[in-house]
Amino acid sequence: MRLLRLLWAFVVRDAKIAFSYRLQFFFQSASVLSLSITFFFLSLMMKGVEGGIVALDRYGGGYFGFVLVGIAFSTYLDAALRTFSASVRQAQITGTLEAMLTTSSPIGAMVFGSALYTLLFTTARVGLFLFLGVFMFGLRLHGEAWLGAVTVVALTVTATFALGIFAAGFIVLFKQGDPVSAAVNGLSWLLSGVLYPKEILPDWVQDVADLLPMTHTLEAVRLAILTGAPLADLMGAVTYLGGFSAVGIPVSLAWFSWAVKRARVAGSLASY
Amino acid sequence: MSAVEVRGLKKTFRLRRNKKELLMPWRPRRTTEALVGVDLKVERGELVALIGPNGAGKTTLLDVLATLVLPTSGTAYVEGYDVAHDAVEVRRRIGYVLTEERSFFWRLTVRDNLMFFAALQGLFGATARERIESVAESIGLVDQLAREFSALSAGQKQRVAIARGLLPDPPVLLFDEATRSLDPGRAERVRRVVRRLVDRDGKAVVFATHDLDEARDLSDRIVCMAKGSIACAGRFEDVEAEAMALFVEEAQSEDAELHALLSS
Repeated sequence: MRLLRLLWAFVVRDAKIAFSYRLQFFFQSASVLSLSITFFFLSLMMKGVEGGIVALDRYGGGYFGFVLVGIAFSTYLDAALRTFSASVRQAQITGTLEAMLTTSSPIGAMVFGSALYTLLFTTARVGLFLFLGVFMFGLRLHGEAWLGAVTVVALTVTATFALGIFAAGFIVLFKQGDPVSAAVNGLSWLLSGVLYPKEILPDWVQDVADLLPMTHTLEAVRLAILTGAPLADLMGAVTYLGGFSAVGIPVSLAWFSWAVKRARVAGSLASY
Repeated sequence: MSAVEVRGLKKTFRLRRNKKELLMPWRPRRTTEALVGVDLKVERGELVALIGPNGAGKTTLLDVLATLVLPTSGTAYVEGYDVAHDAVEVRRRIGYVLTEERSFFWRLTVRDNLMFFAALQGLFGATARERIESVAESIGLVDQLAREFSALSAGQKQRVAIARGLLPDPPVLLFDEATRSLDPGRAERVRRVVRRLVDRDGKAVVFATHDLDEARDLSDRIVCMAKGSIACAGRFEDVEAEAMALFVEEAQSEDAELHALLSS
């Protein structure tokens, strides 16, 4: 109970700070609309050729639904990778980290709490993407497959949090130059099928793509909400993401704890 | 059991490699000794002023007590808990008053800031609100609670920092140059607040400063630090000359450096 209240305190803090920058908050929300419109017109341009793209058949055949889901759900990865390291870095620079670390709350809860608002805001943005897709651009979603989609998204969050916590460990140790975010984010955009089906990539590149959590997320979420695939058909992604989380979360927490201990020895915990 | 008990505390920092050393990574890194066998005891209801010139090791000692820095050797206990192995228990028993104004969220109100830090100390909802009102009342901050932190004066921000340290009602308070950058009137108000915490509430306070007058007016006992070790300790009247000598030595050293610089 105490942990939940503590996490809620982080959400309240970050929401109040975010709302105090009203213009930025507006533009972050408005970008969903501009991106949706951009890809809607891009999909219109592709109307003539999308029937010939065999790889799209698995996902219902239309490019707009494919790319909207890709853009919307890839934001979880982007948010998780950025939010942990960015919140630690910002707290180092502003000096709030030092103040927070002298309190009795566990550091793991502080790191997780710092990411919660971004997670909730990202979820709201994903919802807005889908809402606009359905009510503005006539996209048809299969609501009956919600269980599979929610399961995959939940596991995506834990898997990407593992990566985010790992990236934050680098920030604790080296302050800048976290290699995890850049590598995973860049590779995911390139290989995971955000904008185009991964099936059009060479076979050996697809094998590399299959190592990335986002590849499994996008494939499974598209199958669920664009074609109505039941949870049983998504078990490959569920197994991979679940396994990634089960291994990744303890490893990343151990790495982060080790990084904090090293920083306490070096006396650099709160320096920037 | 003393509120704070430090025995033979040492802290050695490894220095960053310079460009030449980066080419020889097999060589051990150079080190600097920030604390060299420090012994210190502070009882409840006692205010110890930690004085010394810049770089004497005052902040490192406070950081060790606040569990931000792990000692290289020696022991440090707060209310019987080891700072190296019982960090969470130690943090429950200390209030570290940082002078950094930046360590708050400037877009939030004073109350929102204190509510957040109260939550980090395990105080929530009505309990937290009551505690914040009570602490704000005791240090004259009630009228400022609804104001945005960025709108406060330097003295008011400093009092918010003290309020944050007092939220969990800790038995031990650590102040790191709490009156730095305050005008004399505001500095005096802060000192009165601190003194009252010792006399009325029985707190143990370690107050780092490099202002000898402040140390004399405020403390029950002073501990002088130089180059990471304790140079003198006792009542101000007894060690005044030794304390003064530390600052004179520092000033002479700086003068010599400045003279050499200007000559070159």
